[in-house]
Amino acid sequence: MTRLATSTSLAPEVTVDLARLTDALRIAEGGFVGFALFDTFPTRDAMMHEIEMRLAGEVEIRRVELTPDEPYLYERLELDQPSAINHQPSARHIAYFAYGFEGISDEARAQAFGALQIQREAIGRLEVPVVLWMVEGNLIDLARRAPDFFVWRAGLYDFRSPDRKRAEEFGRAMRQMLDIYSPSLVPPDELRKRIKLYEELLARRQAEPDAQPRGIAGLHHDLGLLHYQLHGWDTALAHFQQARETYERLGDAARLAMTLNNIGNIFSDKGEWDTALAHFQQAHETYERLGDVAGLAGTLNNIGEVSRHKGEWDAALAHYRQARETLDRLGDASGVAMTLNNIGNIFNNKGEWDAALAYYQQARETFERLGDAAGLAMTLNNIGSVFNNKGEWDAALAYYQQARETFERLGDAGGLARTLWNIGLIYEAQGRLTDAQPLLERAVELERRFGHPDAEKDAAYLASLRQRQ
Amino acid sequence: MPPLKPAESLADAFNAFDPRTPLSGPAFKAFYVPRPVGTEKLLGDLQAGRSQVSKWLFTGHRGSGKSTELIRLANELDAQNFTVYYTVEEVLDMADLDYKDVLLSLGSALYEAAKKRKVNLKKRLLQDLVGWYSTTLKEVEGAVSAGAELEEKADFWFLKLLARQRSEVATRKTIRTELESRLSDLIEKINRIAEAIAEKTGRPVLAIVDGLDKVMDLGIARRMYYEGGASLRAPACKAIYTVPLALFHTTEFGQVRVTFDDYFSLPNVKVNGHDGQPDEDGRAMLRELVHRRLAPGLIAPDAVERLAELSGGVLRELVALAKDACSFARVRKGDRVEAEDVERAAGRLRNVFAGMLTDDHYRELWRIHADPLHRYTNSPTVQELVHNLSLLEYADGDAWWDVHPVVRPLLEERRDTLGNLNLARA
Repeated sequence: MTRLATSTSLAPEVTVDLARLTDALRIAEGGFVGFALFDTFPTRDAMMHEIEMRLAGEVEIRRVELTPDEPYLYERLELDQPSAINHQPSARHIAYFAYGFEGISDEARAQAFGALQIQREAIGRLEVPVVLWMVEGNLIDLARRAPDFFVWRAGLYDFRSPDRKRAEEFGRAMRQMLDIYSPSLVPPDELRKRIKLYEELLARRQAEPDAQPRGIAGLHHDLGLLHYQLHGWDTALAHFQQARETYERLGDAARLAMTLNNIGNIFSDKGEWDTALAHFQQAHETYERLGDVAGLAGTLNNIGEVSRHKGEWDAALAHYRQARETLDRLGDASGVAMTLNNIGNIFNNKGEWDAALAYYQQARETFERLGDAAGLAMTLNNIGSVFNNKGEWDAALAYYQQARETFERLGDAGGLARTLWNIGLIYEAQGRLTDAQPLLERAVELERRFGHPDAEKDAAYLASLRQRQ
Repeated sequence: MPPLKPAESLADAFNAFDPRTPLSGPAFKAFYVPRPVGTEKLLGDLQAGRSQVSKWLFTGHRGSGKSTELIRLANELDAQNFTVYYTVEEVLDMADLDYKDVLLSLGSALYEAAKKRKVNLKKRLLQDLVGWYSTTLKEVEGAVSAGAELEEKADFWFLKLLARQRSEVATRKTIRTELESRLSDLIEKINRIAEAIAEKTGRPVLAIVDGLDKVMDLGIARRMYYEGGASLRAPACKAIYTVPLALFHTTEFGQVRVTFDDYFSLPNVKVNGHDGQPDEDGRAMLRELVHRRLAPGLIAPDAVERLAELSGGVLRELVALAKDACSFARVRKGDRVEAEDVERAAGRLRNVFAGMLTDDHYRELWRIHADPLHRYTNSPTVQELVHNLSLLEYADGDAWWDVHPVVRPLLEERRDTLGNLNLARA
């Protein structure tokens, strides 16, 4: 298991509120006033972005940034004439994200809040959902200055980090977490929809006369991640390379490290270990220089993966343990589970079954608790492999079947190919060649589709099996 | 518009619980639940009709259901009275209004109601009104042209002028200056309209002026009642004016209060009695309010009970909590709202309170909570607590106060330190 970019896991309550706000905007009829609390700008931006993506095609989110020159919500909304738009029967629903209160001077903000109290009827008549994004201090001020507007709330959504001291780190981690779009969260169809959306956005951005290189690089990076998740490795690589060049040129070390790490992942998946390692090491150095411990932990884990594949078990173990320690300290439960799973892999490779099982079981429990279906399926597959290696085929098959169902549900082609191959091998060992063949065929077909390094080797094995039949 | 029956899905329920709008029309019929202690006394007094010109003050907590009760009064009294309900929020600038504006809006509301309900005002009256306005307010730029039809002119002075008065600061100043010296004339014109309506319909006019309680700047509200109290009492019709609760409870407002014929403070629905024991009547009403909007299968009985309890009997809090609880149930992929959904919705609100309340607030809340009589002492701190709804007023005979149930756990967390403080002060 490799990691795209490191993250502390989202607090469960934040995940719930993300789902709630998305759901509310989807089902709300007419007007609606929601308040979203955040404590770092990356969190706010990541959340707004994520909701926009989740609602793409259903609800059009319009962002209204309140500024010192234009701090009044009603005036800004009215300019847009939302009621005229929403009353067209065919039109998509629109909703507003209002933000930027933090950038307004105290006095002007007080007036802007006072105006909400006074203009609430007018805002109500617009009959559109409005979500106000603000920090706690401002929300409290709003509740005081515009109490009759505050009590109109249809929902309070709390996107603050559970631990204030770690707020900044959490915010960055959350952004990364959402950027990864873990497959357990987003189905492939949705990923494809997002790719289309990003491509449109990219074209538009590039056509702008004063095109902003950082924004364009960001879109390339996001597109890289999306293609990567769909196993479109070469397309992903091309996008990452574009982003990398820009970040290098701009001297943006943090984003460069992130991109290098993700390029490394692609080479790692392709089995080009040395190229992968070179990228990871470059990322590692940068993270170290920046003092980004979360980034460092992810990269250490990924270097561990390369070492494992090269059979350098002690080196791999050392890297995993270092990563695990950091992730543990950061309270990143899903990251810890990932390293436990990977440590299990080493013992599995070394033939120390009991140790392997103990690590896998720990990882499994955590994935279950977090509701991380992709992580869970991977660990179940690995537990199955231990039993397979021990020759306990019934137990192995039971675990593989569970993993297979989940991979199918998630549309995770990589995981599915691996599990199908494993099941096929057991059938083969049991002499059930006619049962084995279709599974192995499908696994090879999937592997070929995304260029798995073992694809041709597996195809050759399949051919020899056919001859034996 | 959600259907006017208990929702059959959590999505419909989410939309049915709307904290924004008071109940009126068909929604009132479908969703209104009588309160254990409601406005019956006021209704009775108004029906008894001691006087055709009585003026009442009306107050209550933010979100206690004042507007819904006033709309209900307007409907129930409409057989005996020609009732005109409106809210100044829709017609005046809430940041800057005075009693002259309110009187101007009252005249307009009467004119508009007469026009809407086809009570044709006599041509001579209209001519007189139009004549007076166009002479008095001739300074208003771009007034209606002399050649316009009479009704068009009247519409301008009563309907369009108000919109301009609201949006154009210069026009507002002109109007106020001109009206200041001719206030008795303005009141006389209002009276002429009220009399004409009463004569035509056989029912005396009852005007219900809502929204004055939402004037945020208490200075503005105070000036309106201090300087304008006599003028607001002057029109020859029955009227109910709303007052901000925070102003109502100041000692100084006592002097204003006695000059009105009567006042009414809408109590919150009791979830517990004075002694802390559950109040069955209050809770039954709150449960019914939930069930009117939500089919029984969509909410667990203990969830309804928790909603009732945590609302503190403030109806809009109940509606907002229920809405949020529906949202939690939906993302949980639950079939119905469970008590845990209600708790989580309350938790979100509690977090806001936690950020809002200061040590002084906690001390005062604790003092009132610990006082067996739950007495209210007037202080700026207490006014802030009333304002932010962490302190709620109840009544059974006498008024008493207690801490919002959502806030109570915050108080419990500080029990040890607060308890000591309380002892040290005693």
